[in-house]
Amino acid sequence: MSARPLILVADDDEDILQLVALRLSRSGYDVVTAGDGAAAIELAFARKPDVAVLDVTMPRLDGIEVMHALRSKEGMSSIPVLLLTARAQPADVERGLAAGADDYVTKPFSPEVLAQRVASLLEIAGEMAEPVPALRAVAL
Amino acid sequence: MTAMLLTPAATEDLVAENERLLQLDQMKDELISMVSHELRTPLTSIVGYLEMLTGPEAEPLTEQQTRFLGIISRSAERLLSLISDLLMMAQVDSDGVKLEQDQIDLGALVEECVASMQPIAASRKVSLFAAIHTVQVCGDRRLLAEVVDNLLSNALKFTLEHGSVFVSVGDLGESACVEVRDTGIGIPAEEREQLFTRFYRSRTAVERAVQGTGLGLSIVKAIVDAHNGAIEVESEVGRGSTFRVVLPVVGGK
Repeated sequence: MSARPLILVADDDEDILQLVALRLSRSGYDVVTAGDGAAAIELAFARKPDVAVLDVTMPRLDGIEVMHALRSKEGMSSIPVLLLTARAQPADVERGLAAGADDYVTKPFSPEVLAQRVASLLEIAGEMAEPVPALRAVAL
Repeated sequence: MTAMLLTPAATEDLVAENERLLQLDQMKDELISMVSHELRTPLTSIVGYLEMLTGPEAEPLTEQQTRFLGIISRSAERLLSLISDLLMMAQVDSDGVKLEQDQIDLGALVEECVASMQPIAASRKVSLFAAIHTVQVCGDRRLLAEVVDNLLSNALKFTLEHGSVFVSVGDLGESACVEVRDTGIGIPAEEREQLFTRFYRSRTAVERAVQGTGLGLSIVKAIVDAHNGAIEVESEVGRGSTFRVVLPVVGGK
């Protein structure tokens, strides 16, 4: 595994895909991109990203379907998912979070804020992955 | 009261009409969703790439480039605000406002709105003051914040430099009152009746080229009505305006 966190970004809008990829690269992450839901799943299974940033409305499979595919795949169920969407009505946000997203950012967004959200998801995932001291002692 | 019996044909007509209305409602929801998605997506690129050009890690810009990018940024903000207004209007339209029923400290909510408007007040060189009492109301937090934001934003728009805007929240026993008072240009008597009409823009707003869609106050009224509240306005040309929203309190009659 690379020392730099790997972020999967999926959006069917090429300009937004490049925008997010560029901003996350500036934060020092490795970024892989997909232009639709099916490509995102393929890439996720092949590369096992540390965080997935998924647009909700995408052709072939939408972001929520991609998230469900990750959640049901062994070894990938705990990958933090941030949903990105232009559907900004409160009911849409609630639906996204209820479906199991770890975070939800509505378009238009500040790339800086998005990078911060990804950083906190990585931080939370890192803390969760740390073994508790008792277990660590057993392992030693 | 006389009971009215419908013939089978009339019943069939009513069922068909009901079905048509349901379809129209569904079309409206789809339109809202489409507008939201199709307009917000290009805006994401505009504001996102702007931030990449002007952010701390960006290449240095000439003075003219900075000025031009500032214009693009302000225009994008206007467009976003227009989209939000149109969406909000569609949401509060025909079938009424769907309310969350939260118990809200109205004072705290207004305080947050005032704090978020302070930078705008400062940029317009208008003083923004608040006198807040704690009072509990029942309603939709997001929509009530929309009401306060709209009233504050209007007050700041129509108040000249070195003027002031004063916001208060009061407990009137069975009701709560939010008052936004400004020392702005005021509204002529003949225009006050139409203020809450959708797309209506006052003559002074048009003459002074104050930006706006004429949707804000109609949205405010729809939200206040849905909370069983009332809104009224007092104004004097050249002296200022006062908008007063009265809402029932929790436990009130």
